[in-house]
Amino acid sequence: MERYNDSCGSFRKLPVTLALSVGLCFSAQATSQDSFPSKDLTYMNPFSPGGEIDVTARQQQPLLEEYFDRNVSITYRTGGGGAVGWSHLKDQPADGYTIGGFSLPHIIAQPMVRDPGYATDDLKLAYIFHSTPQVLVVREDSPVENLDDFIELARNNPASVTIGGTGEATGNHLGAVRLMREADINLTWIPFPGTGPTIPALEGGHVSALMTNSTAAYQNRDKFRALAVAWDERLPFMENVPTFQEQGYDVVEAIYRGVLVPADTPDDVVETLAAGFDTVNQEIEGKQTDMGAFVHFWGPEESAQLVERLKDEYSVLLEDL
Amino acid sequence: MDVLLAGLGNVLSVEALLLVALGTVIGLFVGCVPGLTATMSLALLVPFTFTMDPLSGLVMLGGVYTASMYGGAFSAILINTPGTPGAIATMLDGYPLARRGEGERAIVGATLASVFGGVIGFLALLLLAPVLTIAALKFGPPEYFWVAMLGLALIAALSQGMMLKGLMGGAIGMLLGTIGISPVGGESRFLFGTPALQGGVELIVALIGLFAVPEYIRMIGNARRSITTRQDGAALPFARVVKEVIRQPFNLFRSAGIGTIVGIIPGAGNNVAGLLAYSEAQRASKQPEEYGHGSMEGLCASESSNNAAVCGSMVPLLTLGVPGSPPAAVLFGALMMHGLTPGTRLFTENGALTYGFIFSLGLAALALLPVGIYGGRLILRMMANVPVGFLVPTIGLMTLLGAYSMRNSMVDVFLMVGVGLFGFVLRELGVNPATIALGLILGPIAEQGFSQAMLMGRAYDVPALALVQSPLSIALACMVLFSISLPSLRRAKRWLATRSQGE
Repeated sequence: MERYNDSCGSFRKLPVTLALSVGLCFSAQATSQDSFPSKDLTYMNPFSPGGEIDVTARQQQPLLEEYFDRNVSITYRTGGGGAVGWSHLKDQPADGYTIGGFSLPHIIAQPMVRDPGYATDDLKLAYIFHSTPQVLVVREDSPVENLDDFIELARNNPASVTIGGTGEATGNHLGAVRLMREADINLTWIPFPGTGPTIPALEGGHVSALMTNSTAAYQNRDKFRALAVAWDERLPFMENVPTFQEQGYDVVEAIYRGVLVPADTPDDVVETLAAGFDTVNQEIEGKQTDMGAFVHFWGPEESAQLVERLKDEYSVLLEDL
Repeated sequence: MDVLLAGLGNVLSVEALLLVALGTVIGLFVGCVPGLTATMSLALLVPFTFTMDPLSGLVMLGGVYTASMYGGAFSAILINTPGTPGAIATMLDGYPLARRGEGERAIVGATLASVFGGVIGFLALLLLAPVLTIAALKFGPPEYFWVAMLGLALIAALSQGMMLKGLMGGAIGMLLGTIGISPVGGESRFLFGTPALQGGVELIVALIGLFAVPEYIRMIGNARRSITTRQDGAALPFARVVKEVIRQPFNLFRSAGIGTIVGIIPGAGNNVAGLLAYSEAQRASKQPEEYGHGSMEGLCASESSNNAAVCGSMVPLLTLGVPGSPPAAVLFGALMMHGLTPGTRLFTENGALTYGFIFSLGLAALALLPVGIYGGRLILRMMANVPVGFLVPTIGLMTLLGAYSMRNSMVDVFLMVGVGLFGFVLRELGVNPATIALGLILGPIAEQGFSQAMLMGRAYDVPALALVQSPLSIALACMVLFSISLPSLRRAKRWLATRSQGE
């Protein structure tokens, strides 16, 4: 399992900072007469207002405006699980003035299972600001006390244990698929149109469990019992919840969120954007953790590496679906 | 109790009251322009609340939300286009009233019913939130399916004597609703190579097309406005309308009750609330044949229900931390951004703030009375006096802008015009466009509930049994059967009556 230096204290920002300072030197030479950004930015959100990307973008907006000394306007272009927004963004001028929020695995998995109007390579990731590792939760009053109980229940009742989450080929779904493969159990996946409706579905007992984002698990910690976290270490805000790996199942799955631009955008522009987001992300780190998000500071290179690694993993997972 | 009083105290400040008033005025404007939605305007206003303290921000947003749901009634009554999807049922009777020159009566009646519904919803939120939450949790996928079926039974009522055309309309609507990515399975359907269609047909875009475009064509064709004011020009006695509205307490309470419950069920929303209340009111009515031809009862049922649903949708947000509607999702985000986590802890940790917000929703509901009566008369006078030569291009531009602004997409404008022309032809052929809207709204809810339930039944020998597993789903299924067979039962009763008279 490749590890990211996410928790190594002050060192975690080092690679980005180095990359950025080098990038900034180049960009200063290359675009001295017309330095980016010379006009206002558009920050497109492919999901409806109120979700994680929206909340984060609204936290970033005033700080980005301060950093770039330009207006940053947030627009929405929603539908198709984000596909409408990304297929629009890929055709925008590749000058860095139109940036879009994104989430992984969506931009990798969607082109693998259907034609969403864009290819993963039409888009260039500029920055990843946080992730929400997947968490398996059941109701607080459930007789299922831990992951072993859950797996035993699923073994004894094939297909009748239901697990809810968002959509198909999403982070939630792939987390559930990984668990089914690793533990060799047969769960019934019940897709919902968003995270919102999954919460009352579990609370009302309409599904047996949820594979959900750390944000939802953290915000509903009074009502739901978290059985395991799909990450390679325990989450700082959920220290008492063990990982799947600790319990012998290699399940690691998270939804990563960040910003991207059309693929042809010049590297120095992307680096400038990443530097802005890096500064802003450090300022809102506390607010993000309060939401139950796991903050990252990954620039374009680390983001691209992650995409390459996940592409291989998902092509195997999705073939089985 | 202390937090309750503290909350009330918070709201009764001059600043908070002014913000409620400001919010309702903004909301009214947003509501009556089709295409400006509560969701979008709330999202635009949220950044402005950053500089305010959390309560002031929430109070203003709550005012906008409440008033925008009500404002939808104006355009429904005056230009036959629901400004918000919740006002579809309002239009069915409001517009015929306006056409016969009783627009003012319709607007005053709608305002009174809205205020009533808003206040009932507010009281339910304030006093019964925990109990109602438990009720809402009983609704799972099979129940959603049956609720959608119950709504679709309204097709029968909308197409008296032309059942086949009604069913046709409903089926066309459901077909339109399948465009996009399927809710279960994730396949793309009917995209015709246009990636932008992955988002499906936006409800507002279809509504503008189905209702505003034919109205527009008719206005151009006749070269005169379609609504009239009373010839004698005498002012409408306000007291008479008040009496007319309060003379139907059962209707008002039933509708507000339906609105509150439907509002609480996450995902159903106030468009379903208005339609269900309308169909229940018609079923219980002594003059069901008047519905659709300017019935005050139908108008009041729809309006009190969709306004009660506003507070209803706040129940899951505040108690479960789950937004019950898209605008509530924006409020969810606003709470998060002010560092408040929606959910039960909101009441214990930030009680004064939470109750303050709830009280402000009640105040906003009351504020609709002056704002609505005054603003409504103003808009009515404008619609009746502005020369048609100005009115036609203005409405035309507004509909185009409205469709475009939903997703900043030209595809939506083409869809709006296409659906509009299609709807116009269908209307000429006798298909009621309201049945298409009904199919479009309820089809996706039914599809999702049905396929989720079938998945849940995977382990059974007969998966369809999952549809009738809980007592609630059985009860709802019986209600559907009852409402489908009601017309035949009525006919049988009449037949028996005439036969016994003959003997």
